Amino acid sequence: MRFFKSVNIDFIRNRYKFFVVSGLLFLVTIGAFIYRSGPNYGIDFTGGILMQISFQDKVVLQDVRKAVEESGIGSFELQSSGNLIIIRAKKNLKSQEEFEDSVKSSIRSKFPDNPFNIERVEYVGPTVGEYISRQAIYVFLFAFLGMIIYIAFRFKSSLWGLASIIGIIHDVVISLGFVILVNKEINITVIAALLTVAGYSINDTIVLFDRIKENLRLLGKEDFATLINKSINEVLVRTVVTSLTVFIVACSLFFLGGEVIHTFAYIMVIGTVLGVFSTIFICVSLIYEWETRKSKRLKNAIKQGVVRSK
Amino acid sequence: MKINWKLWISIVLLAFSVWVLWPSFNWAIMSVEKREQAEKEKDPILGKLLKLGLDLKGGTHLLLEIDASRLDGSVKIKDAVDRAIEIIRNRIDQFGVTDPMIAKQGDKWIVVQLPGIRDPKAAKDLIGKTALLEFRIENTSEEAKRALDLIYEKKITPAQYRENPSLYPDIKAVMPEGASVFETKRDVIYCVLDKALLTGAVLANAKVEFGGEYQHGMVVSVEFNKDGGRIFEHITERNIGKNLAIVLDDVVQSAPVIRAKISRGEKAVIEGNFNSDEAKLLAAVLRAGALPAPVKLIEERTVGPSLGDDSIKKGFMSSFIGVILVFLFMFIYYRSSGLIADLALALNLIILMAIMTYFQFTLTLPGVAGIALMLAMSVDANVLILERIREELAAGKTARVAVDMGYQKVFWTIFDANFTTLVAAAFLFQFGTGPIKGFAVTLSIGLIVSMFTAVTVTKLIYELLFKENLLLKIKI
Repeated sequence: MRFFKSVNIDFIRNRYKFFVVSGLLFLVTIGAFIYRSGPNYGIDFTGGILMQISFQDKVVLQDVRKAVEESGIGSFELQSSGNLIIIRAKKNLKSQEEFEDSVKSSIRSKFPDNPFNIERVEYVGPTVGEYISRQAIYVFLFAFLGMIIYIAFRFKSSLWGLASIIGIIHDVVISLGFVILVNKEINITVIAALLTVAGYSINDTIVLFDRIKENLRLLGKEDFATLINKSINEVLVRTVVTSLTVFIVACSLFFLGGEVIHTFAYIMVIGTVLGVFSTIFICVSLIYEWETRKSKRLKNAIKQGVVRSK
Repeated sequence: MKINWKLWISIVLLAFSVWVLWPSFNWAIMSVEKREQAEKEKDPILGKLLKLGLDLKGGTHLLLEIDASRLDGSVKIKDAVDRAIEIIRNRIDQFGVTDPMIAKQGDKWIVVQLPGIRDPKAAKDLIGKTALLEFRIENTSEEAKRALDLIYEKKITPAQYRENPSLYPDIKAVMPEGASVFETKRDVIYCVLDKALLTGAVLANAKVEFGGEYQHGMVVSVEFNKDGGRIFEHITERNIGKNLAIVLDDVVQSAPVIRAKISRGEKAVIEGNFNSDEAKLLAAVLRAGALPAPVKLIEERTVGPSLGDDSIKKGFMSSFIGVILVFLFMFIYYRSSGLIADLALALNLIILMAIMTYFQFTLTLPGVAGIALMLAMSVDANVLILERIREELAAGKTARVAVDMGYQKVFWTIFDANFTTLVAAAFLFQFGTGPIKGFAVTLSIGLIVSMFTAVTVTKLIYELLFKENLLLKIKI
């Protein structure tokens, strides 16, 4: 079985259209930022307390809100689905134990006939929150740097390395935008998902770069645009098949994986599409723009006699 | 010859993996009662299972910070942390937790992981108690009395004074050298005590006993070791008629008058109006030893057993279905060659799990994410190879040549892609916090295994098929 036999799409000629698409996606990201007034950082980064409570019977969110308000813990956020309630407090003056006890006793007195279970408690002190944020930034920074160096070494051009990292940043930032858009919390799981997107994106980019490199060697005399188009078309089937398999796994996790894995799968689904998009329309187009300008400059220089042609 | 050693390595790896995973497989099909029984009896099978992170199986993760400002000037922070870890381990052992993990993180942080505990509060009390036991002589000099009067006058607590004496220069001026002020078990009665003469470090044992002043409460009796006994004898000899205060975590528990010299080998008794749980806890922490400085809880993550169960079930079920769908897709799309790729994928997963189990790495939720990415790249490797073989076949090559060329041409692509990701994973492992580390571990091990299974093993299968003349034409 095969999806399509041979294709011949002129990706390079249409690159500006896709730059526009990419620009629109960035606009969505910026819009999400403004609309949600910045990312909703989880307590992993801000420090704070999270309690997840499951009631035996369904509860009305308003009643729970009232009960928690009466416990006097200060400002908090509530989130519910069915008989499950999540309480989050980012800035609280009470100690973690006091917080837990006052919430518990207040809820117990408000819902005497509805026993509940504390399913999850997370407390992150402010110093730990800072530490985790700092580590997350280091992780991205060093991982990117390591990848740039290796790709620059393999493709003998720091520009190729840079282009692939721009592709990754493109994917990671827009994925983040989509997380903010649906007002999901940025926590460690989101960071792991964004790293997965980055990994998938770089994998895709390298496969295409390798094909371009191979074709440069075999058909070096051909026009650069034709050569790139040929390379993209040649690996297109592979790209579709691979993306589809990732997509299948991501969808399975999204629909069946349960609440903990839900955000992760959501980001994977978006990241898979973005990874393919950025490879073809961002990384390769950037290289095309750069290489053609470089050779134009070279031709001009030869014309003016600054550089002598061989 | 070449086929031979590759075949042997594959067979040995597979056999090793099955052997390592066998206990985990048995555990998975065991009933809940049997598992509980095995846990109670500390069955050796427990040490041979795939370790799951607390986010998957439930439990409590604590991060503690040692208060360096309260350390004795002569003690190095590194030694203090090491000592604290040892003591916390002793305390947890008394609590009876299966498979706890206690480790240092950074300079002054200690990670404590307690899988499957049902009462995190009790565990926190046990771990967090400093249990600094001190024996101090009460100072009844005129200066001490004046200092005490000033403290009552200013309505400050002894703790406020001790925290920063220079804020109260007038009190500091009259306070006798080395002495300080402490709360007692009764409200708003403070007393001034000289510097500690003896600490809990010289204890040999601590036990709960009935008795005390009115013979109806619980007391904790402590026995000294040889050095402690000698010092204690010395102190009591020189301070007859004075009050000896027994101070636990900066609170005076009792302050009996020394009537006579207490000679070696005799016990001291801590009276503090304890109920039986308090007395037991105190005896336990005294036996385990005092922390070199107080610790502060700076992070806690507790996942209840029901949520843990739920995420295991759903997480594994959804991953399993996802993988099966990918297997099916590969088979439908690439026919028998897809089946060979599936075989390699399955082998990849089995070897990865076996390595995780054998080296006792922990599988966490971000770890499952790492496996998802690794699988995607492993599938990609096979798709790359198969598409390349199709291209070569389309160019009119024979099956044998097409397969050889296919592998040869994409090898470096696969290597580059995997290696770049490995570079990133190495940084994640180095700089990442706990959960990110879990991601890096499964991803990097999985990718290394994938290089073997997706490339070497599949190629081997083709070579074997060609050799036996089972495969003359290839259908992809």
